[in-house]
Amino acid sequence: MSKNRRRNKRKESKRKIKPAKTRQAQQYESDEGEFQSKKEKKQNFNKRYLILCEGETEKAYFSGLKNNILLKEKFRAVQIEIIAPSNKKNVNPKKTLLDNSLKGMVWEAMQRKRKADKQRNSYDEIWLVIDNDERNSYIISKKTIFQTKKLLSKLQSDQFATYLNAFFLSNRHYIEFLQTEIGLTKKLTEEILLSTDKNHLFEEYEHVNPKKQFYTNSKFTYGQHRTKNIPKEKDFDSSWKNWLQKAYSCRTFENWLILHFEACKISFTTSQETNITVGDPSNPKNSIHHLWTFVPNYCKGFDKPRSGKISAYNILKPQPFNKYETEVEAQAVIDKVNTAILHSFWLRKEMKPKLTLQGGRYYEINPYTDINYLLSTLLEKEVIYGSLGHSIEFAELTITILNSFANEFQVTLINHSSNKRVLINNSNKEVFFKILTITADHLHYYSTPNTISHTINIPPDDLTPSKFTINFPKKSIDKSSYLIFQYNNQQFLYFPI
Amino acid sequence: MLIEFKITNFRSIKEEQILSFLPSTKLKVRANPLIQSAQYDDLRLLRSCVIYGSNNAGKSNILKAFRALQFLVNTSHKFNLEDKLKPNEAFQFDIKTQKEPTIFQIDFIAPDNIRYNYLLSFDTEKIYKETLVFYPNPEGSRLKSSKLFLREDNEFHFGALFTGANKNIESDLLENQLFLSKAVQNKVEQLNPVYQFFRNHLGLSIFHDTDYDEILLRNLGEFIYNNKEKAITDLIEQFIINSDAGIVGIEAVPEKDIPKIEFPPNFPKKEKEKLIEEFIKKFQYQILTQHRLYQNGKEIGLTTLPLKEQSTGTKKFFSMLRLVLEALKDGDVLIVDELDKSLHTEWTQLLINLFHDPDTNPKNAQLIFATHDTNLLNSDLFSRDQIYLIEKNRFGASELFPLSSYTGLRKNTPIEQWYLSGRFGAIPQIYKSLLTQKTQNSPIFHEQK
Repeated sequence: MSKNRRRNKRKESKRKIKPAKTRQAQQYESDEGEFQSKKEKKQNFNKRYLILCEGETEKAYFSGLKNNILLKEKFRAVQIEIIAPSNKKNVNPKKTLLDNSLKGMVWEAMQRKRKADKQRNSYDEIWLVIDNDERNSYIISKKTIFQTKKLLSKLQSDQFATYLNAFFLSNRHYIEFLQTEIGLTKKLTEEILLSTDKNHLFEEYEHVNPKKQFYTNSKFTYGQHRTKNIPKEKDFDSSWKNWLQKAYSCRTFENWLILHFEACKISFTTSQETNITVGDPSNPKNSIHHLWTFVPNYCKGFDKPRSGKISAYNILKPQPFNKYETEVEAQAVIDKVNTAILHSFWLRKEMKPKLTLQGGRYYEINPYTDINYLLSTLLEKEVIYGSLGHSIEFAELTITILNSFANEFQVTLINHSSNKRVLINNSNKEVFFKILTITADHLHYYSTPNTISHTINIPPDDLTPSKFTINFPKKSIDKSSYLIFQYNNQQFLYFPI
Repeated sequence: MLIEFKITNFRSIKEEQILSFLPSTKLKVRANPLIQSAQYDDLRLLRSCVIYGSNNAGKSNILKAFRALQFLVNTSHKFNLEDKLKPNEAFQFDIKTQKEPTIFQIDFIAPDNIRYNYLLSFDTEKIYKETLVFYPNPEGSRLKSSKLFLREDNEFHFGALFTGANKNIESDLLENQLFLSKAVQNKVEQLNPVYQFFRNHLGLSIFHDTDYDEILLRNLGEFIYNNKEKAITDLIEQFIINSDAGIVGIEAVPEKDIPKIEFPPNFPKKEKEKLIEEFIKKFQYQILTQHRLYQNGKEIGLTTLPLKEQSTGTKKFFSMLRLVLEALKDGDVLIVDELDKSLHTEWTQLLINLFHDPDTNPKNAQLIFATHDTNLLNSDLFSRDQIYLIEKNRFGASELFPLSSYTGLRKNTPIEQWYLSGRFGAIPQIYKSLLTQKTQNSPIFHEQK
């Protein structure tokens, strides 16, 4: 060992003594471009992602993207795992996971991270794709009705029973319902509240001492045989909130899918294919049904060729799609995903008052989604939400936009970059402004500014703000328009106009 | 010794791809020592390069380019006017390159220890460009390249140091013949080392075919039987005995029962007999392996088995050993496709280490091979500039790059795991979930009524 070190040291000192390049070597190199070392194009290795999905639908969507012909090179190290109770026999129960509850997924993420770290092949990012299909709600289940029977009068109880399978995301909504719809007193309401079936997985996820969650709640199981696979304490990673990211949608993943087609804020109550009346596509209770208005043959999970139904990924292509994916199809998918990213910003802005009312508890409002952050990361397309009149740091820029007239915007830009200039004109693809308008019938269109009279050049390291004005055609802007500023394939949004 | 080989527009290769034996400047500690050129002080070269990539990424095409170049140098002087230059196989997935020439450029040190740079540009019809440059004075102030000859279409320019300028060769030369081949056939001594490099110092094993393997072994049988080179035979035997192949000795014997050869019906009888005789002379030998013989648990002597009864791996080990030992002996460049095919990873590593250790490789032989054996990545066998990855971009063109081109890798990064998890690319990206679904739902399981 020490011998080796000495030898290495000697080698090193030898290297130091050696002159950088002899004249001879220089001449040698200059001859017809011959080099003494490899010419190497520098490149970065792919990032490694782990995306844990709770069901086949999510898996079909993300694995479709991973294999998208235009994206696949970039996504080589993306690993998409699906967590669902496995019905395969003879699988080692210790190795398969089985609990697609939120805890089960968090636990699985911990185990995979630990394994990857141990192999010195850590994930750069770990994501959970999860929805809130009754994961955090008061549910008027049969059990609830049974348990509350003795507290209520016959009339109240019968009325209550007509709401079988209804659910309420928040305490506030439920109380409101009990008092106004059933007409209960304040005191009775509180008793009913205690006797109602309740899931509070997200509440726990966000607020409960994480360790306590895993060791005091007997419901959590890992492995097929509940008793044999009690999680070991040493496998618990208490830092999980620092590295685990969630891509959440309420109520279901279909809410996110709908955003690919329209800016939609309907509060759907379910995504269960079985619970809906076929032939009633206007039923707003069901997100799948709503999705069918855009793609009538959408189905959960993967394509079902025998019934002609198609998956969450393939619905994004122009129909009918090819046996192999053409570049046109692949691009159509990417365009749709970009639209969904923009729409989800719009949705959160629309839902902001409700979110504030619920004290920021995102899992108590419907609809809601933040899956767009996962997509932005994968597509390397950063989107920042801004508002008119505030300065925003964006890449190497500081940008402020003021709306002086309906169709006119005053822009102030500071370029902090040490070497890159910013050119703004109508033909520059790196930087541009556009207006996105979503119309009442959910169509959207883009409009570009009236010609910027001459190119604006903002040199690097220029700390004096550059000010300029951009105009758009008057008729292109209304209340549902956003101004989009794009720089280096990153997008920047302003709400509202 | 090979320095660099550049390939443009050949089979799956579209833009210029470079396989370089020059080291990367980034690496401080090396897995195996570099070759120090005897003549050129500043020239250090790698002892081996390994190429990884998914099936159909173009690994074999890099190796086939060597074969194509060797074939042209060896045989083009025999071409007739109407012969097509078959080794031209331009990149087919792009309308533009279909009609463009293939370009090979090889930078190497010939057996005379002089560095040469040979460039060839051709399509199926003709040679467009052929140049040979060399570096005649490694010492002193005149270390620079010097042109030997330059051919553009059929225009020739000769360098001041070229001694073989000959009007007759020029005027006789067909458009599809290499000046290099023709000149050597016409006894231009100066070019002989270059020709020798291609002819005798580029060892190629790039076919996978059981018949071909069989021929290799019969050829080895003849080699052993006729005691062509006892030292090599003895060494092969030592390797076999000491590599846990369960064999304690080898011998070669003539075999009566040789494979039948089929001739076209009206093949001249005399010719036929002559060919058969030659064939028998060459291929009648088979190798026998010796094994311990036991009686009641006690060793009582030896018994023999024909090599063809042995496992595929053992047979492969035999033929590889011969190629490797001959390359080591002469300081050749050995090019092998799928070195690991049927071989245990320990045997593969044994063969590679023979090249890496200066004690077993004093003549500085070099090894280029393609493999799928990812075990080799974690075995400290290679430095990162020796590991090449190849993959097809979405336009179907192969891209070759060394692992050392990745920035930000740590010394203890487990290369094999990183490679297999897709961090470097050059790995098949299979749409597994879709295939599972398609298989599960296929009519092969759901008969239609």
